[in-house]
Amino acid sequence: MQKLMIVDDSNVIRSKIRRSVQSERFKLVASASNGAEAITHFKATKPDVVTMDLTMPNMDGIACIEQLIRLNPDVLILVVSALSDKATGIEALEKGARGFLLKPFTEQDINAALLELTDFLYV
Amino acid sequence: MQKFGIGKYRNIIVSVALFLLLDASVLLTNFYMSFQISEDATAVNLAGRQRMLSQRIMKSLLETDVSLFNSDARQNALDELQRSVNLFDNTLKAFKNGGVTTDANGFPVQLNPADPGKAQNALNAADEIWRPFLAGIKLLLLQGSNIDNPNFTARLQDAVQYGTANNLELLRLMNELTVALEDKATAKASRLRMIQTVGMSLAILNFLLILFHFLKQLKQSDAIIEQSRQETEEILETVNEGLFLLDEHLTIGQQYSKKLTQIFHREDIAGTSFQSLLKSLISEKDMSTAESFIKLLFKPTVNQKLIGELNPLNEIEIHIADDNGQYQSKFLNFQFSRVVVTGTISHVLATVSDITRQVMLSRDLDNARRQSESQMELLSTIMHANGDLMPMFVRNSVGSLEKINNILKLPSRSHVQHMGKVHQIYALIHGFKGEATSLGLTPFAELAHKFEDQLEALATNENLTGNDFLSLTVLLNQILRQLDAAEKLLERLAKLSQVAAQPEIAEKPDWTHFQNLADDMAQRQGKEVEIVCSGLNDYPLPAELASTVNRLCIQFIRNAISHGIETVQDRMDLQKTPRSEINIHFCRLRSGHWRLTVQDDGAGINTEQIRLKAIQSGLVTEQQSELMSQKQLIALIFSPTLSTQSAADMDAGRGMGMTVIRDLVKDQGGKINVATRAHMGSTFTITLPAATNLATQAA
Repeated sequence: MQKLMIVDDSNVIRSKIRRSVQSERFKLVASASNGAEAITHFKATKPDVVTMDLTMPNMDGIACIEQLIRLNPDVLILVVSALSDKATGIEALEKGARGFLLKPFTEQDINAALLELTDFLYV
Repeated sequence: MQKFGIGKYRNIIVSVALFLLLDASVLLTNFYMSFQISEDATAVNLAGRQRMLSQRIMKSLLETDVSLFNSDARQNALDELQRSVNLFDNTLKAFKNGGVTTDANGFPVQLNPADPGKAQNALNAADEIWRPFLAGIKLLLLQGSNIDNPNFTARLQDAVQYGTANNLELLRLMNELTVALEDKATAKASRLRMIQTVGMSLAILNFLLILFHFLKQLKQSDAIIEQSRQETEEILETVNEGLFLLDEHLTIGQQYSKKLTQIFHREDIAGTSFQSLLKSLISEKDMSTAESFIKLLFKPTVNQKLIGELNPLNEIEIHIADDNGQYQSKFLNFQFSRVVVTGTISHVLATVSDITRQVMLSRDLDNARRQSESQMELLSTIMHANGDLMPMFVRNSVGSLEKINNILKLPSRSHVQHMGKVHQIYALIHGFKGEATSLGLTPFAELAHKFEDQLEALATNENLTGNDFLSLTVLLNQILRQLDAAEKLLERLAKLSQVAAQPEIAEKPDWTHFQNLADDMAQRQGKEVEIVCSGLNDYPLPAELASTVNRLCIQFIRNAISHGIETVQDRMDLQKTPRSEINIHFCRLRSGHWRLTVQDDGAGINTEQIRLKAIQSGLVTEQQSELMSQKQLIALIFSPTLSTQSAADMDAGRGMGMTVIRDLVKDQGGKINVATRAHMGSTFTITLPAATNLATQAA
């Protein structure tokens, strides 16, 4: 059972992810609507897996990823974003995120991505 | 990591071991045999010495015998005899039974018993002769050397006598021994040579076998390598994608598929950088994004299955010169995947495919989809529109658009000529827009509005040239295509409903679209309008006339709502009924002329506003305007550039509505009369010639 944190400024997206994830695999420990909130929750709950939006008020996703990686380099971050600018997505992965899921997504999409992320054996 | 196995090399190892074993055994035999041969040589030497000793013993005996008066010489001879006898006897015993004797240097030498046969026979025979001889000499030597001793002389004589008798036989026997030993040594030497020859031959044979085997294996493995090289080449020659490897510095590997050279029309790809391959083919921004993306794949923590969406080169358009120097446009799809060797990411495998056809196909599909959507929209528009007036609209519109097309084709050089064209076209397209709007044909109205926008851009262009009109042709064709589509749809609809479209006998058209148009416009402007029609259906109207009347009414209604009628609020403030009324009356005069009267109860025509506007748009100077009568001022509303509205919108503001009316009436050879009173409204009276005139006009 892995601890999951959802970071997204949209309440709709947050509840969609919450509904989608398999409860036997992930335990939702925190939800945050912006980067600053995410850092606070992260320190308190120490999640293993984080889904991360990129465009958010009060600290964006890129800055947040940088800080989370500094707190725990092993945290598995999945960027979930609708952006059309691929360079920003790539920057997020350069900062330490491990995967990218494009919005809009289906329940299967998010589930498959999270399983792929957590089952992935590093070379 | 492959485990080192002995299996592959077993044959070679066995061969080498055999080679070493053979060499070692030849060496050992050699060593042993040469040791034996050296022993044999010693024996031959000693046997030779026995030969010599047998004669020396005899010589010493004879010397003793002849030295009767020289005691020193006699003593020497006796000593010599003593030594020779001892040596001979020891050596003979050693030869016979094995034992130690002394060599020429006085060192002890071990001898093995001589082989049975010739040597042993000679020894036995010699022993037979020697034993009595030795006994006699021993007795002699016991007597001392005194010649006066009779025993001495007697023993000497016995010994000399025996020796003389047997000495030659002894020599012969010792010679026989020597020969026998020599024969044995020779036999051994030749055996050694044979062993050496055989051993060396075997070793060489073995060596040749190893060599052959090794060469065979080498050839086999070379063949396998060659085969796999060839297979790789075949794959790279025939594969339908561009394949190549990239290292972490994004340098392209030595091997790549032939398709890659065909896609990029270049051969010198090996060892160049990925950037140089795509240089000047894609934007710098795309290039740097692509570099970052590929570098992500070298980052082990990134999950390559979860970054596909970020690939900036999954559908990229490039313009590239082909082998004939012709530029062509291609869509390429790049895919990247990791190559992991022994747990580390060694390369990224890039696959490029030319997806131009797929992209084109999907664009065609998109276009087809859009087209069918717009057809559906058109269909629903047509079905909602006034069915009786649609064929008329299509016919009128085609006529108007053809007129526009003809105007566009007219040569024009000066700015004044250009502007003249703009205004003529403006009037036609504005009429078209009005009709489309009245019938609720939004797609046509929108296209017409777009057309008007473009015209307006031309009208404000100080340096207008003939070429600037070209853009209009494209849009015009688009409208014509739509009209064509609408016409076809109408035909189909007509067939479907089993009602043939009969525009020529549109006896009693339905005019309710006037109210629809009015409601639609009025609602947008915060007004309420009631259309009251009379006389329109009192006569069987020729289609042409019905169409003209329809178009005139539409423009009058549009004009009245946009310019004449006040908002509900304003009317209430003025104590007027909130709902205004537009009265349309149609009748035939006794003279045969037709009369159309359009009357509204709006604000009337504000001549002061017209005057200012006319000055502003440069139609008249201020001085001229002050000299103009009310009637002259009102006439200005029919000139193309005047609109009292400040901004153009879907409903009005281009100042063309009245020009359209003027042109229509002029075309039919008719007249317009205007009456207006402030806050009371305006009345437009149109007189059109009789039907005969119309027929000639239409032709």
